[in-house]
Amino acid sequence: MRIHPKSQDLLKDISKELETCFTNVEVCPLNTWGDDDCKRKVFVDDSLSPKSVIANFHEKKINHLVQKNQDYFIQDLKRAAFIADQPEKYFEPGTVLIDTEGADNLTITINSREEKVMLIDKAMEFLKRVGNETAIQSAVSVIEELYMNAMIDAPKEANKLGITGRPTTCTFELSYNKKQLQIGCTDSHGSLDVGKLIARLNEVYEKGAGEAIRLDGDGGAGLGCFFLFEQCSTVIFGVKKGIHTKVSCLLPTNISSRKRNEIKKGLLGFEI
Amino acid sequence: MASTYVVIDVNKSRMNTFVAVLRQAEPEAQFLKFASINECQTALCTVDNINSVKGVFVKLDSNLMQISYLIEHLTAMNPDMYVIVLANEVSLEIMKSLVQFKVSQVLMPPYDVNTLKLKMKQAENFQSLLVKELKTLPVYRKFNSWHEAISQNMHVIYLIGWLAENCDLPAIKNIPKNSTLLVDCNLLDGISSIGVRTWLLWVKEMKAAGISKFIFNNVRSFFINQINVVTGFIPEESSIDSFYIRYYNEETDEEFELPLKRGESFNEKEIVVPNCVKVNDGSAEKIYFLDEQLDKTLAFYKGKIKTSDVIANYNFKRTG
Repeated sequence: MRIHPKSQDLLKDISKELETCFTNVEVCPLNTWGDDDCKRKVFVDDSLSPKSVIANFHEKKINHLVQKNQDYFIQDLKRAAFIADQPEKYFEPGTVLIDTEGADNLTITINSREEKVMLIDKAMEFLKRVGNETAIQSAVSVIEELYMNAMIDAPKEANKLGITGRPTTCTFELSYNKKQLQIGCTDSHGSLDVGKLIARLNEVYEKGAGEAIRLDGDGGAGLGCFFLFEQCSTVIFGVKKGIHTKVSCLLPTNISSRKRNEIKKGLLGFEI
Repeated sequence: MASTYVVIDVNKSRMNTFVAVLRQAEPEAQFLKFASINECQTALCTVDNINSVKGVFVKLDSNLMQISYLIEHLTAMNPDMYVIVLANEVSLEIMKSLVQFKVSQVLMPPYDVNTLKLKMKQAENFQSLLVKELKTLPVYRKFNSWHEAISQNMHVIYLIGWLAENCDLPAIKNIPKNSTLLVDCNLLDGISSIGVRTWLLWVKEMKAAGISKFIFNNVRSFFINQINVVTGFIPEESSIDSFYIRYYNEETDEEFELPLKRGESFNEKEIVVPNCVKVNDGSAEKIYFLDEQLDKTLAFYKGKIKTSDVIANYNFKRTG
């Protein structure tokens, strides 16, 4: 990665390790953002609240934001750079975004809404190894939202966009390495508009969930991605237009709720 | 070690008649008699040798949800303990609920020694199988709810499982204005975004139907989080009468939920939260430290928040 000169403070001690990989990607502090192409830029910061992360994404139209956390900064940067450099590879089945050493994996594909209970039963069986009840509760919460997005919202949106003939099926991939849990969901529509999603998230954070919730109409409450983002340390929205949307959520495990809440969030959002 | 059996029945003479038959089936055993489930739960927390309690017999006069709480409590203390419900007759609906609550057996009168011995053996075997299976079964509960009218203008609903899409909250009709609704969240596992919508619309409906006061009991962290994050999640005219606060043991990555009840642990003016709790869950004694940012978690509470360095002691751990 190419390190922006003003990144030295945030990246001191690790810049040498980063310079040897993903040399097409630049790492820049968020306060150096200019109105130019952000596709191959990973912005970094260390003090943004969840609301500020979304606001920055919305205003600056950036694609990759990583925040400095004690334990995973290098890993988070490398992950963001990998996705910025080779976004196609993100969509490959079995892409594990956490440290794979000692990781357990599970893949579940569902082809209809009737299979939801089977999905969650199998996921919960896997999640037993995570142990901590709050972490499991968060994980199930994430799966609920990803399921809704993939099996209910995505087909509706695809229909509106004229993306037809795609099966309503989705694949969940779970990985757990005793420190982090990765939950990914890939649908078969590719109908998500990342810009619109970020705008909606921004609206929820600005107005508050109670004011922004949609109570009328056939659609959802419009809070799903807000709940997702609140539960996770990093969320990645990747869209291959008309083909797949893949949302990956990283959740810290094996720590107290206090420490979990102190983690600064990262966000990656892109379309190809 | 002599076995102990617990019998719960509000009718003393009926209970004694039953215990007389039980004594014939188990002449060496000891018997603990209680008039109510609450009394039993409180007493069992102080029993020295909880592993000696083999079975609990409870008369089905009690509220069904109380039976489910009893079972949950007992499972936490001693998973090998079975529950036999004593009932004159049981409808299919009630039987389905009892099965869901993992009641080991149902016993109907007349009570004779041989039938009782057989039922107790069956209950022991069933419980042993259940304990093995529970270790392998997932715990995701589909949404269910249960409504009871305590009086014409006081109602209670119990919420179970995950409130997600295609979940119906109970429609309570024909209630007088200014009624009160108790909402028990002890078995509620989570709420998705669409569940929040269902919930808000239902609260609106209940207010229109005549409910003027909502009282929430056994509220867990995720519910408190919704109250704090979603403005208007619970109506202004609400009261939270009991809830759980999270504690954490860093060594074992285990959590403990401390129950706090209005009138016992807090009132309108003040709440005192211990900084740590010592929990004896039957196998070991562990220390858990407060794992909440109280000013955020208790944002809904209007009184003074204090913490205490006095270590609170508990004899069981809620398993969730």
